Amino acid sequence: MSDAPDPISAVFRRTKPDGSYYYSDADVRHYLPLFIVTTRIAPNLLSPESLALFSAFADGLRREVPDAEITLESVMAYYERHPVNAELAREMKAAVQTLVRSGESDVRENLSQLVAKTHFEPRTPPKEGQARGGQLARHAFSPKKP
Amino acid sequence: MTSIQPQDTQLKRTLFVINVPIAGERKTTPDQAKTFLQAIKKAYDADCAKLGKSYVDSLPEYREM
Repeated sequence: MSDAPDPISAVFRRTKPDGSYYYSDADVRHYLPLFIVTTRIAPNLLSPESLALFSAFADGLRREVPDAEITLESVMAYYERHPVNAELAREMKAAVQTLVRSGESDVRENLSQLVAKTHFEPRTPPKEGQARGGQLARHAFSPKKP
Repeated sequence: MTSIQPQDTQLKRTLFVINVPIAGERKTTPDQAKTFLQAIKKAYDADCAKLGKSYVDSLPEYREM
């Protein structure tokens, strides 16, 4: 896969004129499990943070529907009841299409690698003694600890 | 009154967003999450196959299938 800036993380890193992230943590966190499911990234490629995010999502689904199995149908039904940020979804769709149009021969493999291995750098470095700044939901796919 | 800088606000929000759900008691273990995702992936791929859709054609929203 090329080393060109990837369109996926560009969406998560998009900022407002004041420097803050364009999409809220809540919107990103809500969207990421859907993205993991719809892109069908191999679970063994997911970072511990990504799995933790999906675990939290599964818990949330079960809190709402206590006897629910975590299946494709129940996940999609959950998102029907709780739609994602439409603009974020549109941007991500465009980003995936950009990736597809880039001519990479194996989109699924490349997308998996991209999502599983891309490290979403924070906008600003952390102050000494502080946790890293930025929105850590964006680090969920990272194999590195933020 | 001390003003809150954007970075501080963002940090507080970050800690809330990450720590509350991640550090709290979780019923779904990482291994269970992997199992669920593997089953979902299999079901999703099967649906695509039935519809004659390639992986790329099915990206990125299931509801469009």
